[in-house]
Amino acid sequence: MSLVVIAETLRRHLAHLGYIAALLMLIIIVVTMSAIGAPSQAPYEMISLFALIAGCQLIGPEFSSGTLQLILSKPIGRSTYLVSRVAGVALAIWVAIAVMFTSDVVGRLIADTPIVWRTAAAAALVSALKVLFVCSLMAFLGSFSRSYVNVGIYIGAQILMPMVFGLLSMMKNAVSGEMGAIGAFLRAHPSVIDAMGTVNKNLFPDAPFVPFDRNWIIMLLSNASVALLLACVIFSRREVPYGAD
Amino acid sequence: MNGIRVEALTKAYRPFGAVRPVLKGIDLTIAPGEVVGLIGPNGAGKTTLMSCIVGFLNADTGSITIDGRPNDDLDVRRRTGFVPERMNFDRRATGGAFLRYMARLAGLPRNHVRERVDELLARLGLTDAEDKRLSQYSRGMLQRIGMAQALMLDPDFLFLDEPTSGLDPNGVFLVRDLIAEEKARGAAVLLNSHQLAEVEKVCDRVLFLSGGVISRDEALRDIARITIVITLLAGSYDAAAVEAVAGAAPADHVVTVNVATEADVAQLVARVVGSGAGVIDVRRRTADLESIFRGAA
Repeated sequence: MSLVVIAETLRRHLAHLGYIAALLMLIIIVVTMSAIGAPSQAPYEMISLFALIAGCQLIGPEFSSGTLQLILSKPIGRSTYLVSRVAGVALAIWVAIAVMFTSDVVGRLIADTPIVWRTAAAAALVSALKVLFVCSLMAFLGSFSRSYVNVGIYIGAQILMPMVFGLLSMMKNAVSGEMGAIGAFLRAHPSVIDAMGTVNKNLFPDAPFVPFDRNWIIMLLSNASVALLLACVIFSRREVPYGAD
Repeated sequence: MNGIRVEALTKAYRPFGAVRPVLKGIDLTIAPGEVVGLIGPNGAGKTTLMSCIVGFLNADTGSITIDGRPNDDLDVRRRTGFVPERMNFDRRATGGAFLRYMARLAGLPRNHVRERVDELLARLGLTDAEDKRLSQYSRGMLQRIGMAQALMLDPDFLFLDEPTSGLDPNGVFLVRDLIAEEKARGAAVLLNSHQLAEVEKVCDRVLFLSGGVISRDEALRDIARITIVITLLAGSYDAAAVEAVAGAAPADHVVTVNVATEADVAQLVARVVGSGAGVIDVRRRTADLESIFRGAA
């Protein structure tokens, strides 16, 4: 990884007006929610959206503007650059998570509502890991697609996959009519629905029931690693044309 | 040190499955200390060729080596400078911050960054603009800072894509001087430009790219020839005598002759005067790339 790229990515985010505005909004929401005694994990749901928006801009805008070509002419490996960008973006959002955690504690101290340290810390950790995974996934999508298209792909998949999973689960029970054949196929090949469920669970993991669930943490880290590895493989061979004749 | 070598390079774009060949077997070499101009009409494949050499695009077939190594070798990149036609970076960054980032990316040790950036800003006439955001830079200033980032590590191989585009005359002179300095230092330079007059002034050799092939590869000293236009005093000369010594008959009291060297100019004028003709004006014109370009394009 390149510390230079990580630091520059972090600087750009922290100095970005959109980032500052979003962070202020999050602080207000967290303080308000903690003051009324809402569970600590509730506001962290918004962080994934934050990661999605920041993550989709990992490569796309640089690609379109020509900045990427300038950087790739320097002695830095493409994979190194991509991984460092992911680290920089993740770090910028981790800063937001740390601020949210602090705001939660401060809000509860001011309003004199109880602090469940274990729950609050577990919520922050889950959020931090999800951010890492979403950024890695965005890097993977960004290695062959463009900026906001990636958000569309991600949100589309998030909506469609459970729907398809539910539909297949229903069709599995069909025994007659046109659906009967599909039902028979799905009963004969239960791995189809299982695979769909596994992919869905891995791409869009729910928070674990148990705080600091080791298996959940390992699953998320390994999924992030796979996404990042695939992103590096594709990005290292991707052409980055610039200008026009 | 070896230079830049491209052998049998082909490249096609494949929009929606259709194959559109752009480079159809390019061979070229650029020796250390040589400045080579790449010219050709729009769509000839100049940017594609430069993109392949710099490593932004993958060649379909053929090979590209820089100092005997693959063009995507990181050590080669360390010794390479690239100036894009349009310099784009985070517009909120200041010129100084941009150059410091580029210096760190290029691998310059942290304790040398400040000094080197200051040097380059001064050399490119941007010292006063160091703290200005790039969004406040003019096109010419962006070109100059683009040049500065490329020269960060005194590259052995320099790729320039329209480096004088958008520059005022002083900027053009500056880039011309910088290219001359890089050449003197021993850098191999590839210059992609539509500005034929600039190519003519700074390049040793010129490649005419047309239809995906290099249709002409000429040393500029071979291209350059001197055209002499001699105006004679009406009634003072014998047309046949002048034609005999100059090799061209006067038309409307004007004789136009091509010669190769400056010494030939002096001899030609002396011969015409010796034939008894009254010479009232002598002008010289150097054949320019434009006429060659028109012929090759």
